[in-house]
Amino acid sequence: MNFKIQASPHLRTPNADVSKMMLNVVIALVPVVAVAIFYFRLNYIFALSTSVVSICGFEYIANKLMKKESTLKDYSALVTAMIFSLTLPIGMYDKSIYGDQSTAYIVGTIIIAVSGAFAIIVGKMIFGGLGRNIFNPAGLGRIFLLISFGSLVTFFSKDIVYLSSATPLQMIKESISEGSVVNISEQYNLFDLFVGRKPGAFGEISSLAIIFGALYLMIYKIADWRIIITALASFAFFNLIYVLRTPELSTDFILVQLLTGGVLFGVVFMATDPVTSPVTAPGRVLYAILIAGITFTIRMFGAYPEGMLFAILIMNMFAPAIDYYKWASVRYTLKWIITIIIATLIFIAIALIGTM
Amino acid sequence: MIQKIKKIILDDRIPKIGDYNFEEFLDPKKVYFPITTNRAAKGELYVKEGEYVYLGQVIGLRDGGFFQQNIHSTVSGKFVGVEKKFFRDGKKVEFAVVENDFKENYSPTVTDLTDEEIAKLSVEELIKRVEDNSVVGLGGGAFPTSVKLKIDKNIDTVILNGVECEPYLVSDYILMLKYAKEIVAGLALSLKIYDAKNGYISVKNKNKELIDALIEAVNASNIRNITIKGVKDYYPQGYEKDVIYSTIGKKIAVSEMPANYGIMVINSTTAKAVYDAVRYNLPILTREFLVSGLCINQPKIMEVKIGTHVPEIIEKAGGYNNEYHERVLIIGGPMMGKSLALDDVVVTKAVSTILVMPKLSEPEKPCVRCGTCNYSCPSKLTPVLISEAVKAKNSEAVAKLNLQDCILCGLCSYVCTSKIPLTDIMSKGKKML
Repeated sequence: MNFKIQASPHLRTPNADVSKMMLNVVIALVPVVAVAIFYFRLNYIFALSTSVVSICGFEYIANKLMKKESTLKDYSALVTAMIFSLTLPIGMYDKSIYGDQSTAYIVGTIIIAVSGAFAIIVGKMIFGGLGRNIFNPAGLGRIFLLISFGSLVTFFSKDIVYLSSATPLQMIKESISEGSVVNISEQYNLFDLFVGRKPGAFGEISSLAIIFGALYLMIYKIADWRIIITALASFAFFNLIYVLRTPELSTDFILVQLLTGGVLFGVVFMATDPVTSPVTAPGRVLYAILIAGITFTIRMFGAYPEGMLFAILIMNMFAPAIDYYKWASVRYTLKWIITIIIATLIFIAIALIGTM
Repeated sequence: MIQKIKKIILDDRIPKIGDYNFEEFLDPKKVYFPITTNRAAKGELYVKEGEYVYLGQVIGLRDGGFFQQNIHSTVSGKFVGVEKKFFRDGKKVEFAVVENDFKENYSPTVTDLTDEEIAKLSVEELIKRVEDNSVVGLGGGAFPTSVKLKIDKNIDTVILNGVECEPYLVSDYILMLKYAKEIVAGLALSLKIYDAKNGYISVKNKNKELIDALIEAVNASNIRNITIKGVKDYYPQGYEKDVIYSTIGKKIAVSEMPANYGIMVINSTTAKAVYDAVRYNLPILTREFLVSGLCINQPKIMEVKIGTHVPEIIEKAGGYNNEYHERVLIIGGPMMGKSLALDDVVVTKAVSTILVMPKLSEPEKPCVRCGTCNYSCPSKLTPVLISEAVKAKNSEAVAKLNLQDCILCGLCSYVCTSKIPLTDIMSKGKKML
């Protein structure tokens, strides 16, 4: 009787599987996609299908060229495509820029297809595919779109009636830079910000749908709750410091900050991407604090509404450094606690500088 | 699944503790005893071909310095020669073969001491009996117990490890249930040898009937410093440091020796062997042997003689079924057990289980760096980073990431989202240290 030789252990958990994990992310994204379709109908359906065709298509082609088996079955390209489509500005097909609607559709489709191709090829396949990439592919594609075609899109949609011509983020910026505090909650009431009547990207408009997704990801342990909770809590905390030093602002300001500019969406669906985040618990906490802090800093001193995406990509770059073998540890050692405290203090200082 | 995983999910088709009957298979035609082992490279026999040997008689010596051990026969009959068979580590070694005459003629060296006579034995005499009868750690390590008993450290706590945390294993459980009295007595002897104050027997708290049996055995004896401790059921609860922590609440670093803290952990089955060696001057004669797994027709636990040829046991368990095309034969538990290519193996002291399972078939996928291995590692290591370092042949990083603390428990492979054989990579990495 002959038997096969196998290295121990001889069991594998039936609950863990890459495809299942990715499929669960797809499920968590469904409410967000549903809200986007509800508000923007064909516009979002176009954006989504263009993203899926471009990103999945180019992954397939890249694998063919590298003579590798297709990796579409692991659903990671689908996840990238969905996330990418949800980060697109809702004024993707704005006819006011081109004059007529059909040109706007054609140009918008080309922009999405090209950025999607960039996302999957440069963002993922060049590094060798799933698990090897340094940057979040969807985030990279979205930043590519900003840099290459930024002037061709707007953050407003004709599908929604707005009270203000400025986005909440622009108002935050104004209130910060000009010292004249705009009462944002007068123009965008918090409920609108929460359920979706606000300018921005397809996916960020309904915070409610994103929170559903976040709960799903955390309950089924698909995303690390440490990243989501730490990033949101520290982002709120830095804003709280700022609000406390600025008597003109009410605490509503913190909620406005949290509910706009893709903070929720970015934290829940992009910062938690395991491939591009550190692998240890203390590393992930530090990573989340730094993402929150950098986003806060960009909003305080910079002009990009994509601050969240920049923060994520910057931190993606530092994830391997956080995982460097000389200091990586699964324990919260004294070194890690000190590092985390120092990082927090730096951003508190930045918040205080902002109030001066 | 990004979380700490400590539970092994069991397959319902494989029988659990309550599903087995106590069975015996004590009359093999031939028994085999290894003359050399992985630790003892040389060995000699005291008997000539055709010579009659008694049950319990010393028939030879395995010579390995520190690991030197007498070879005993576990049946009476005729020594018929030497044959090559597989040792439990998968290496082919020479075995002395004894043909059973089924008369169970005990060697004249066998004694049957009363409790009073045992109480009169000095510590040196006790250790000598353990040493002469080649008692070894029966948890799988097969480390000579006499060496452990002679340790030059102040031991105040002895813990009997009866946790048996590997999934599907039941040998220790059955043995403890059958011989609760002997196990308590064996622990009492160890306490006497160490001059230790506290004895503990740790078993899973879900095995209520076993806890009751052990408490009854303690109450029936006149020993008052032994506590029965129910511990949680997780993997690897049976790992020495985990047993210590759940039994007496003391945390000991992976790299440290419990003996330095006055603690000694002994496998519960070994305690019975110590008792038998002292009372009867006999070696370990039998083991509760489990044959199980999806590829076995009638999974069974049987009391078998040490030296029994495994194919005979498998035949008693209804043989192999043909439902699976590719099968693996595992000596030991499914998490740390070794897979062998042939079933031409012999039951030696530290072998208590044969599992025959279908080969794992799920393909390996790229690591998505989910970190579940880091969260689950009982030694607080970072398997994902270590595997990267091993693949990059960076021995400095491997050492810095403390791979020496790895106990090869198998959890990292078990929990891996991408089905990467991490534990295998860990054991390869250990060679770089």
